[in-house]
Amino acid sequence: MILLGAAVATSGIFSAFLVNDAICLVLAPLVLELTVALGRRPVPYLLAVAMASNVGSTATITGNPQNIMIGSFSHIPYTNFVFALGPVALVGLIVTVALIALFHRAEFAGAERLEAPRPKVNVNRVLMIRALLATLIMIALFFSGVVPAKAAIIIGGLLLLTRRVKSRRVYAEIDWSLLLMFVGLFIIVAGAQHALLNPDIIANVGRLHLDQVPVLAAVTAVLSNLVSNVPAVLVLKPFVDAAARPRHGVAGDRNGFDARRELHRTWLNRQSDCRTEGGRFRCGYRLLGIFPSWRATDRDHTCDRDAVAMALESKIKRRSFNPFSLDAVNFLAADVRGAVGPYLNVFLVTQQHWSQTDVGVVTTVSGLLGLAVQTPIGAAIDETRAKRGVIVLALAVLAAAAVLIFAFPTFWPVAIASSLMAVAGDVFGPVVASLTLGLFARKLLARQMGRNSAFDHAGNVTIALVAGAVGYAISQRAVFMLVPIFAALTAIAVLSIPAEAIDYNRARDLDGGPGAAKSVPGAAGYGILFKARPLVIFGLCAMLFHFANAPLLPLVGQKLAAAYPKEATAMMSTCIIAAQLVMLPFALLVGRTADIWGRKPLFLVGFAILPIRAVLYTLSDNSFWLIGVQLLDGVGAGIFGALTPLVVSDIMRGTGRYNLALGAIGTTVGIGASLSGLGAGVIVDQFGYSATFLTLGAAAFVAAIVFAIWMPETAEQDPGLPEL
Amino acid sequence: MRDSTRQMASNRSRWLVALSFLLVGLVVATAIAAALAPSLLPADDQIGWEGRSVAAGVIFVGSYLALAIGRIPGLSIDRAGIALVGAGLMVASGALTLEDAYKAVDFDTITLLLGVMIVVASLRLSGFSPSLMPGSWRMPGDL
Repeated sequence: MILLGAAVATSGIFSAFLVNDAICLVLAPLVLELTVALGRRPVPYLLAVAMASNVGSTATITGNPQNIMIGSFSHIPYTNFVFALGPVALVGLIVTVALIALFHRAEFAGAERLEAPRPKVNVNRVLMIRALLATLIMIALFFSGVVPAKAAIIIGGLLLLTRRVKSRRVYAEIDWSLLLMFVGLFIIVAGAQHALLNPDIIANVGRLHLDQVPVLAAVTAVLSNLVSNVPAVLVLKPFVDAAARPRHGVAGDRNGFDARRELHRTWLNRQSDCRTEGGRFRCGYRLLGIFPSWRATDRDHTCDRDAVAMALESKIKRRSFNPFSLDAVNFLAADVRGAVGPYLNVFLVTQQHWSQTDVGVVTTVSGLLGLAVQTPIGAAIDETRAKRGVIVLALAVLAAAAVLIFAFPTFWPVAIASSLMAVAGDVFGPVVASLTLGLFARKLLARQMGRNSAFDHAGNVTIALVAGAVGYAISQRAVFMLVPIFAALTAIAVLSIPAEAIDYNRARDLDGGPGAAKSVPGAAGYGILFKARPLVIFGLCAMLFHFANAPLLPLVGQKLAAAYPKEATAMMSTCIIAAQLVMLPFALLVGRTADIWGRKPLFLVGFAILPIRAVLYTLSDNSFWLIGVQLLDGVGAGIFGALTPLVVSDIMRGTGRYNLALGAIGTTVGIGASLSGLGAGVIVDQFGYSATFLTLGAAAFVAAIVFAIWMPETAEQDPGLPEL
Repeated sequence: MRDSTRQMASNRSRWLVALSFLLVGLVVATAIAAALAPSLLPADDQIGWEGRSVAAGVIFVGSYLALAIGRIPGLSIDRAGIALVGAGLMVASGALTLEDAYKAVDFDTITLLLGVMIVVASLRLSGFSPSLMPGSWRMPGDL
């Protein structure tokens, strides 16, 4: 315990005055050696060094690179900075000791005194006294108000005047690459600032209320954890400048302080998270390297990483998986996607006064792009083991795109953002389906797929209501800011699924049916898409189904709009939400019965409803009738949504190309849906609504017939791949 | 079995490398396109200016992404190198001139860092380690 306190105190105090990376490098090997010699576990002590050096470094301008930058931009006097942040750092150090002692109670329970062997260090006394003296003078100069840069470089230069140490050895100790990175970063940020920032944009970002300290603190904390802290501070600088200007700079200084404080607090949390997670090797490495980033990757540490990694490894426990996590992922992912799509067009046309052509170009391009990459993305998902990582990445992209639209609703940003969204949106369906495959035994699969689908629909309904409320109460633009919020929640849900619980071979359908897999060592080739006959038939039917289904809602909308121009939008929204509500129980029902009844009869119901619906539309123009018939859509779509991933998984069993196939089906369906939009428009113009409904109904009828005759039952008893 | 897992791992990294090459190529291509735009396009300044903004945005996002990850899969470049490449592309794309780039570097920060680093380096080389000071609370110090 005393040792812990000592480690924290030395690391904290030295980091306060001298750049903390260096202190970590000095202390980590020493502590490791000492603890191993004492027969103690090194992990808590190393953590203490790392955390304390971070926390301690907040105290002064010279504590760490970010502070140096903040000090230099803001011209805060050294003394003021210390008075403002010194106490914070002190409290932080105490908290550090408490936290470590709390999380590693066992380590500190025994009260026996340990005799430490004296560390063997080669000391050159003259040099050391000189260097210490120089340090003290430098610190004194800092406090006396000399510009820190001036004091540091002059003292540093004078230290080179020696006959005992070759200058070259001193240079070798300096982290030149860090300096180079700083220079590069300054230029990159200046370039972006120069070319991108104009008063408009600053005003836009100003709407994020960066001048309010909590907001700034939160933004800084998030940014620094995302891109590491030095780049984050650089990026925020112009905005803080702008926010601070009306308040005479002092406010800006305070912002700087608070941002730093918050930043370090999160850092602290993150490190303790890391540890309680039972960190993996990389995590442990990080903790050592503390200033996490460039050190961790650029340079080998002198201390024994393996020992630490092993110590950490022993703490990992295989955690069991909670099905609620997956439900939450489904629910929240639907929220993320649903918060933008439908509202983007409306927002652009009504609020930003875009022309229909511009909107059309953006939606078409992004739609086509999304369609084109769907199959390759499926293939990529098959290959990767980092399925959780893929979801988090996609979420980050979606969140970034939404913020982009929020901040700069002009042509290029929106075009780029919606393309990004289209691509990232392709990821969710396949990845979630494959996670389900990897998490659940085959017996439970059908039920879980139904449940997934149900939660997805519930999420859609929720986000429609929430987005409506936000759009009404705050502004249409604010709806986009829901995306990062829900994305963060989803990421938490995804990461709460332990990676060890996922069976990666099963997740890509490589486990095979009885006997099938053992003969096939690896995944099948891409040609599998055309060789698996049931898949081709299924794809064809699905395409026809969506060809018939997609235009129905817009057509009904047009009819309603013609009859009730004012209430049309509200009616459409009701339609969509109501249909989702109908889908929910059907998805659940399908999940429960798919194994008992087989997939085919259920699918036939879904296929059969569509032509009936199309015919029913022609019977009356009454709006209640139309909406009522539209609700039947919920039945068909509910069945389709829950069964598609299941059937594809049946068909692709043992091939390891599950997501590829799912992506291909997605592409086919997308092509069908977009083709029919075009076709339906032409038919309506030529022959009227009823003819169109009947034509689409005929297409759906063909799909049902093809499915009934040629599609085999794919449930368990059937050998998955008759053709292979 | 082992072979197949290894093959899967290599497949995976192949995808990653392909993706990162694609992204790097995209960023570099954008920068070059923006650099060429003024000479290729007629005097119409509007498009050139917009292209430059887009390029600056792409370079910025690209380098920050790479900096956040800490490396570029498939390349052996480090953070410092990434920052240097990003800075070079910024100048190349015309988002700012070389003179502006020089002005953008805050030498105050660099100088202070360098100075403190020299001081710490000479402390380390002298064999000084912080534990010798408060650390001597338990060991009878002989210094």
